[in-house]
Amino acid sequence: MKSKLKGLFLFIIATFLLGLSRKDLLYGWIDDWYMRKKIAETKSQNPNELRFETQKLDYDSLQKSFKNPNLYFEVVRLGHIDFNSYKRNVKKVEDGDIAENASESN
Amino acid sequence: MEILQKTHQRATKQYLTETRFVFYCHIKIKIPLQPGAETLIDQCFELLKSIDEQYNSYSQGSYFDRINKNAGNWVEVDETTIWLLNELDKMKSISNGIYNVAVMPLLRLWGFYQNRSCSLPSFDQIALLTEQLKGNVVSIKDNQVKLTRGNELITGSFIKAYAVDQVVAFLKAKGVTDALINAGGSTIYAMNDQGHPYWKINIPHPTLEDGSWFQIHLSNECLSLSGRKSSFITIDDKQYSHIINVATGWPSLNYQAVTLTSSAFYGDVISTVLMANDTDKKVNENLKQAFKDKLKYYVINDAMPAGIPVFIEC
Repeated sequence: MKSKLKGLFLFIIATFLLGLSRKDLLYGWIDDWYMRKKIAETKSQNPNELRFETQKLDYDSLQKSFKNPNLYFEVVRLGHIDFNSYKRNVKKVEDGDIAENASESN
Repeated sequence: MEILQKTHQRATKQYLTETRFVFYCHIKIKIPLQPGAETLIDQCFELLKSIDEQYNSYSQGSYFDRINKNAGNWVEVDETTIWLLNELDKMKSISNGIYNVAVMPLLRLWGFYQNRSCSLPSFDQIALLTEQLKGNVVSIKDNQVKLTRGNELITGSFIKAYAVDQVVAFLKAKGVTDALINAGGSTIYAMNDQGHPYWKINIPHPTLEDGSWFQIHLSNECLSLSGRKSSFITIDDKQYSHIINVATGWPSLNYQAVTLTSSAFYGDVISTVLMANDTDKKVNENLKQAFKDKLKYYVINDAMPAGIPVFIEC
């Protein structure tokens, strides 16, 4: 039993290392898995039960300002970002019968 | 045995494709799936990127950018820039000034490439710029170029196509005989051999949005398409094409021009000339003579053409 577990563990490590040499494939799997998980989570939620989260602010009388004791994220404006440039280059396999679309636009 | 034969007949050749954003458009390269294909595609995109950086007028520090920024002064350039400028000057002559690589001030006057509300330019302003562009605004001396002050070159009508020609030459040198390069849909180069005699290309309707208009088979040549369906400016509820007839100074009234050539560079420039030319019938005759046996084209002048166009063979 112990040796079987060890074998399984080594198989997982080997698969992972193999995956590292094909980073695009590995990241693609991770993306797919994460998207499926998120879609399933969203579908399982009852929209009627969704509520806005409320957070209580504490007033600091010395500083004369409100403080948020909860963990929260501020919205940061990043300006114009070309997100296309961050997309990984993906190669695909197609057959030669697919018609190509001409277009006047770029 | 019979089943095996049927399966074999149904099998189609497989290709490796990749699309990347270069020259401000999506460029797709499709080559046969074989060992080394991935590296070959990467090398093609490196070549495109290098040409984009060196020659695109929008690339900071490119030869054309330096010529524009140093207008009025001599700028040292390479042989390719000299060759491009000489060829473009020939096209200016053939087109009787309808095509001009220094069209940028006119485009700006009409409101293209700037963030401001559009109004119709004054007739005087248009006349002033067309007169300015009739003259020789680009001077060449050995390996130096000087642009007359107040002018600006724009490489949009040819540089992407020039790069496609370089990719085709590179692939041929590497022994590739079957490939497709689709640069933004407006420049599509088909490479073919006996095993794959043509690529199918869908041509869009000049005005209607949905679907393709008709399909052609492209074989060892380049399709270049110019149109005004998606690239225009609206002034007082009227649409004006982004392709300007430099001889008149006004946006062209044509709807679509398509060329088939063995060179993407000439194909793109000629399709721009044909699209821009809404006044001078002699220009198309000039093109027929200059590109005898090397050019097929059609031009759509009406919004709703009666039928599918027939290519004119020069």
